[in-house]
Amino acid sequence: MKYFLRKTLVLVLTIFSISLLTFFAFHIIPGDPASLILGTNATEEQVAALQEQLGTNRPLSEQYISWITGFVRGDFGSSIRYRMPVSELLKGRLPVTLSLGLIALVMILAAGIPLGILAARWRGKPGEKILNILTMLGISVPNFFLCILIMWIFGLILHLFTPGDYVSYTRSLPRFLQSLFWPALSIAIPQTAILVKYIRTAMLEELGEDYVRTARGKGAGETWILYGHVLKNAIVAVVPLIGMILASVLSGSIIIEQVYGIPGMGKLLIGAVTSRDFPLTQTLVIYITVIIVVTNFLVDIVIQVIDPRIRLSGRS
Amino acid sequence: MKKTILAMLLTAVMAVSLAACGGSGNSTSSDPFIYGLAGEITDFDPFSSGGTANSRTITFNIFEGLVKVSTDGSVQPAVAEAVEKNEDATVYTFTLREGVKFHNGNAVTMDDVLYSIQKAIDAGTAGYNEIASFEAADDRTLVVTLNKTDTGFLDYFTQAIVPAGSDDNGEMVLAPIGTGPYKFQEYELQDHVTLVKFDDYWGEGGTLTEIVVKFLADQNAQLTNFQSGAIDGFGGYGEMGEQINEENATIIQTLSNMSQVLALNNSVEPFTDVKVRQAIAYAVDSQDVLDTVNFGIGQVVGSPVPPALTKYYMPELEDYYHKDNDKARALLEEAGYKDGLTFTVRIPSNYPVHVHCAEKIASQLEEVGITMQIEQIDWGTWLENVYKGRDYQATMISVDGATVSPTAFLARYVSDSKSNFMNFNSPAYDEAYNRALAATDEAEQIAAFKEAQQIIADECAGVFIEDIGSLTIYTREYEGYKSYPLTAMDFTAVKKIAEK
Repeated sequence: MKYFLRKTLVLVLTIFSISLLTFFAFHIIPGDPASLILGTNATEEQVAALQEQLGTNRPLSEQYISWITGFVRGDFGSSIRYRMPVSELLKGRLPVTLSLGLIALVMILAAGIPLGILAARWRGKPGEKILNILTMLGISVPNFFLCILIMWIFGLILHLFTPGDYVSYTRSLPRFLQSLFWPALSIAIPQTAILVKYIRTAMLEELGEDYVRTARGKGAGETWILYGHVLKNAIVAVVPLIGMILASVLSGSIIIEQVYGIPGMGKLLIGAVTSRDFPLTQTLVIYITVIIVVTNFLVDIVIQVIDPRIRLSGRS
Repeated sequence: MKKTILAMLLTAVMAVSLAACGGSGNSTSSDPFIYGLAGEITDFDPFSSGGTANSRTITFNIFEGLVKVSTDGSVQPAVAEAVEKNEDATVYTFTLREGVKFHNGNAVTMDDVLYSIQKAIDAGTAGYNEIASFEAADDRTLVVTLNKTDTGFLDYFTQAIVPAGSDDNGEMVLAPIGTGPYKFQEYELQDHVTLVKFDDYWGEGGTLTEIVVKFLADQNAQLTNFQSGAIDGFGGYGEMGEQINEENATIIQTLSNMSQVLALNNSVEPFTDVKVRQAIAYAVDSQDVLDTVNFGIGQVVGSPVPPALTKYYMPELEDYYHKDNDKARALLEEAGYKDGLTFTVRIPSNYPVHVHCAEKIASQLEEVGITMQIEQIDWGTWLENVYKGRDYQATMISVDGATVSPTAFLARYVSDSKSNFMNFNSPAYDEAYNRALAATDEAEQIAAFKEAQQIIADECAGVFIEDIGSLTIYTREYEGYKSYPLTAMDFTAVKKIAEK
């Protein structure tokens, strides 16, 4: 119980400091939302009239205070750029980015765990070399470049999909999932490579432990040792990584949504920042923060379930 | 247990991948025309967003004013069927057209017109501050009186007419209602806007029944989407034409109707000295920039007024500063920069074409010992620091005009203009410009506007490079484009000529 209270307090403090950081960032970067809406042809009167209408003529500190007091009451304010309530904007976006992240996460786990085990089993064999090269490639290739490669090879040459053809989930769920497959793959590849490296290292470490020698001494088969003992222990070492992977999946989706033209939270965030939409940026940043903090919290619980020796109440 | 979970995960992935490989591209004859826009629109507000080119791509088809711009830059009657002005161009009398309907089905009445004009005045729309009074003489006759003579005032009446009371709470921002050939149907944020043909349009409407304007991240996304078949057409810069296979596309070349300028901040060192500005103008070879960066698609210019404004355009300024490194060096020496000089050009990064042109210009300036450093900044920062704050040495931009009047391009060079971001200051220019505004005789007015342009060239406010070529590219199934002297996309001109 004490643990939950502490975690909640940390969450609240994290959100508050992140919102302050966003506020200071907005204070520093130049740009006026009304001028951005109106462009270079606007008269001074037009800009002043729009600033008045949007409420952006007030000092930013005042805008921050009204946003955060609203936020506490569950009112996220109104987007300056898109002129509608932020909550309405989020409602449409959250399912998109979460589906994208979830598909990517499933791909990462489904490919990363078996490949990691293979990498450990193939130690010293030629297969390991190939896997090593592939994982190094996966880690080093920048996300956006990978997107371009995938679009080019699978989209324009092999015609397996139509780059830019996004279908909303409100129109057709299967076609929505279909349009998320390749973007999710672009997010998954680098993260899978990282996971493979981690699992391989963790398993090799475990294989050097005394209990493995004992098991061998008892006459247990290699397969049983690998899956019955080593994998279980190696997974515990890897679970905390899932939290980090999720953070990368979310931040990766910001770029991937932009490249593939998927209207999710990442694309909205870019739109919000480039148009200096203060309430929208604040709320999106907080949303992403909450997702990441909560996931890490869940990961903590999962670790304890897998390995009860780890005490949650302790000093982590 | 673990195997079961793994199996489930794998099945899920396979299901998704199977779905991904499933059929796509099954098209029917009622497919909409999908037009790819680089960027997204701000909103549909006819009283504010008229300023941004992207919004106008869409709103040009939805809204109409009392008058409408035609392809040659003159204004034609629209919601009004006739207009007369008095001798000294201070009173304009409009006769409303009968049978014009809004997209909501209601007929346009005098109330709607009066409401729309008042909205435009309240919103601070350019030109509307000169309206002294506007009133209905009868149901169909509107009389607008100006504070002073303005023969070009009709250009401002392209401003949209909307139903009375329809925008009291800013409803037009997200749900526009106009009288244009296409009506608004759907707006999916950051993704697309759908327009459908308005059957009760008073004039000759378009042939396409449904148009989807898809928002894409940038010109690379436009190219990918076009090659993949996700869009049927798009508009881009000359430099993009090289990447399109002409056999599969209809490519229409026009001009973008704005002059690209290497703007030099006239009140910041070293550009306070006209000799330095002229030296740079001599060192720059605009034709070379046009040829290398935009593959020769476009036209070299020497003035802020683009060639499309034929009456006011001065072709003699195109080569006014003919590339001459010796003259450039001599001028630099006279100005005290014998050993060369270094300056920074700040360019908005969302316009790659300006960045590419600047790279070419930097290499030309290098020949005379001038080092031009390129700094890319985001659009919001550019607007705030460079355009409004005027905190820069040099920048590169094409400024478009909101109307087809020469004032839309020349007003910013008046010394005390709020939009004079180049800090150009010439009493002779101010005098010529104001003389042009006050003129009631057209020939006299044209002469004064030309004189003003000549002063900009002599004083070398900035280095005018080119009216960048603009390309409209369709798949083989479509053709037709109307070029206007302002940034606009007229969907009534697009026709389907073949099935996929």
